[in-house]
Amino acid sequence: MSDCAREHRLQDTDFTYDKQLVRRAGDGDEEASRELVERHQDRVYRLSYRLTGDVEAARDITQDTFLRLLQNLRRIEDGQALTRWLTRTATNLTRDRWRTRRDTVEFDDSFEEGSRSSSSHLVEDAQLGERIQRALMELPHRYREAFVLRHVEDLSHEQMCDQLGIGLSAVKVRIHRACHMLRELLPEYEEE
Amino acid sequence: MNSGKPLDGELDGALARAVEILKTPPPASLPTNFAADVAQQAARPADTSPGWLSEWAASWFRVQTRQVRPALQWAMVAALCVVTGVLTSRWSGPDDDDRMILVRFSVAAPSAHSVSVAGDFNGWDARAIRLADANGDGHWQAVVPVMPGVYQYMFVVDGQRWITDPQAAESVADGFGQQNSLMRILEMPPPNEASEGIVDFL
Repeated sequence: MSDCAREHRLQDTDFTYDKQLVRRAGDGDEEASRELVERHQDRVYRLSYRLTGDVEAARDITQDTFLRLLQNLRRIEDGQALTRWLTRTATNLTRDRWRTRRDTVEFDDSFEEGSRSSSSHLVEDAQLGERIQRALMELPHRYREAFVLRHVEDLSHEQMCDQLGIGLSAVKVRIHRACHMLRELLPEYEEE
Repeated sequence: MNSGKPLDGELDGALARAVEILKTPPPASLPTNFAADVAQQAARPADTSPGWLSEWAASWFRVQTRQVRPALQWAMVAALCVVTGVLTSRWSGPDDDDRMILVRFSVAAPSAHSVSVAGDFNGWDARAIRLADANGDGHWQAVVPVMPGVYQYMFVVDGQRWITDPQAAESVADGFGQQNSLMRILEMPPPNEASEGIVDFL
């Protein structure tokens, strides 16, 4: 079996198991609900954090996404639908937050201090992460959203059309502009 | 990979390295018992009590109910179902004038220095639509032209406090522990009457 075929097989298995969990959770099995959340919480949390740049906001969005999921399990047809539903809901909740609140992102300045006192890889990685997240937060919402969905969440262009409710050309334009802006915002990083 | 600048939003080496970083977990992880807490919370029966925010708001704001003019009652539909989707709307151009519905927002806030209303219909701009206390009696109101649609909104008191309309017929969770009020404005044929009346919304 090729690596690609093995990967597809693995994903099919995961989706099948998700479907079982959805069914059990829908029947009131709290343990299945817990496992369902546990299997997907990291991805939803990362998506929310990359879009908001705010740990607390990302936790709120993640929690609300799963609460809504567990209250709407009948809408989930299969494992793949579950993944799409989670992405769409977390993205919509983030949009709601953008509408009601300004981006108020506070990064941990201790990393700046750490850069002078330590040369550990951990600190360097953290600094780099902060730097890139800061750049991401400079993007207009729709470009940030497009970049994250395409390149962090690995959605296809067609999936993005479905998720964002826009046409293929609009999706491509947003991704292209997001990449262009990020290159402008990270010039020194590009030179590495 | 293209040579030179990549096209169509694809990644070159530098951005590819940035994406690798963005694919790592956020700097702070979720609480250890996050999944169990969410599952437990979802299993609880829904709390139908008004909630602390509504109680607090009600203690500060006495909302004055106004009746919709009989001739225009059919224009307003309330309390049908909770809508979680948000309609992104914009101020319309001249061609849409005939479809505009005038909506009166009204709230009693005696201790407030300023009150505004923000919602889907104005991009949640908390400064754009200010209510006026014309009589100085603490009753604030504003008449706003709105296109037909379903909108979420909140009052903003003194530029800081976002208040759910405690008397709104419908509300929807905003996902962050508060409730957005919900209003439904239907299309109003014939158009000539649409611009003549005012739909009161609390």
